[in-house]
Amino acid sequence: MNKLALCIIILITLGNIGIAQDNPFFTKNAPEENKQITSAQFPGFIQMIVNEINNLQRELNASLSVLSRKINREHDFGVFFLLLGIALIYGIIHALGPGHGKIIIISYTLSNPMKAKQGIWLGILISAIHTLSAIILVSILYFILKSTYSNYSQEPKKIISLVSYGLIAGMGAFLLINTIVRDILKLKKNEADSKLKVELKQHRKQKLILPALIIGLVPCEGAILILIFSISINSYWLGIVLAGAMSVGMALTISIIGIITIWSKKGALKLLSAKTGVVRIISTTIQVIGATVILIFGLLLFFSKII
Amino acid sequence: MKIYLKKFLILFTFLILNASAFGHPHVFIENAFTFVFDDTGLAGIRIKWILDEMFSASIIMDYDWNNNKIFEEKEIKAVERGAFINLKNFNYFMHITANNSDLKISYVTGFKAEIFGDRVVYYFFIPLNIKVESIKKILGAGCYDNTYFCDIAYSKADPVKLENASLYECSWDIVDDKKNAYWAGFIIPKIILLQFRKKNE
Repeated sequence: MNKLALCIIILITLGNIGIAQDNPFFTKNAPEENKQITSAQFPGFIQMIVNEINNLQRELNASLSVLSRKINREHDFGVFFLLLGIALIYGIIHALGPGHGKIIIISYTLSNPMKAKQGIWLGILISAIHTLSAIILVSILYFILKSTYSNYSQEPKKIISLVSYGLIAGMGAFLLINTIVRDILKLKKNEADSKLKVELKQHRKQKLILPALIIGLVPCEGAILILIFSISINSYWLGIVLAGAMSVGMALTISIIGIITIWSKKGALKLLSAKTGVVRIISTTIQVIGATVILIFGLLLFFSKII
Repeated sequence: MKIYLKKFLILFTFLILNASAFGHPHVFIENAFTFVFDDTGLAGIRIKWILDEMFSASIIMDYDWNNNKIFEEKEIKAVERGAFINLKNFNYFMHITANNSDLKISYVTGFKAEIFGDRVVYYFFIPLNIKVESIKKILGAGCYDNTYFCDIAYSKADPVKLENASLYECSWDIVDDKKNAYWAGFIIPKIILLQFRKKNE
């Protein structure tokens, strides 16, 4: 059962690899790995839910633009708060989809001993950096370089993505080596019992900013479009506020994903606590898998940008 | 113990499946097809895309150089070069089959971009040149982005039109194309199934 469980986690996690989104209107070449046609069938009610969520996104997107124009004309506080609420919900739903480094987050939380609180902070930091990166990029692009969104989607985006993906691969390699050296080569049998306690103390000291920076570096396309739209209606600051609200929404989703991953890992290990040897093996295996997924994912993304 | 582990795994599995399945489009497009016939058969499909307001704003800002809310000839050429032609790599989001064989689009003609209110509209024509005799032909035509950066829906008003079709018996329907589901199978594209043949004289 446990082996089966691990296999399910690995397979599903790996199944998500290769999801990197570029704007097809501008980005050269159709990346084959993005095309995930499958003949999988799901029950009708799931299709219905997905359909409804897609329609909701379409409506939220339309409402954001209509209400932004309205607030630009009328300066109505009621509309402003409604707009903030819509941006927040849009952020929550937006981050549910592929991208935003969720696979890396899941893998990172699996490969590191973390507490739920840290999972929340990791989600907040990633989302904030993801959005901040979009704000900085759009500001430089439009106000300093006087360039365009379509130009951004070529070279600048490629460079940012290459740096980010290279760093992700580097982080994966570091975590993998660290796990192998710390847990596989050095760990003695008598240390096994106290390993979980040691891990709990260690993770408090871990700094989350660096992984958050690496994961969140690639600017959020959703925030970019909101910002460009706001500039087009001469409401740059409204765009920043809306991108911020959207960021809070995304942070909620990403944090929940982080927390559930942490709880799932913890719960699975706790249930096996009677057999400390098994706990050690499974815990180390999960960490190795998590780090390997980050490494492979980073490399795949990196080389997909080069080729 | 096993029940708890099962619960954790179900929750975890559901979460990750959610992460991959629920759509994450950034651009929203309304699509309408016009099937254009001539004396010999189906000449091609004229496409109309209405882009969402947010993406339209970025195109207007980048290409309406004189800010007059009209795309002039030079600007249309620039839109085509800068924010359209690359879609060739994505087969212009078109998924066309004739009698169950896939058709790759090698080129499109007549690209035009217009600004209507706050939205940008693209028009272009896909030449097909399918000769039609008395035997019924079946054409499947879908417009969807399987990278799911763009969410493309059929226009609520007149999603399908037929032009110069008086020589032919035609019928069409919008159907689910289940075998080409994408995003881990959660999104089933809707395609137009057009059946046509030459009328008996």
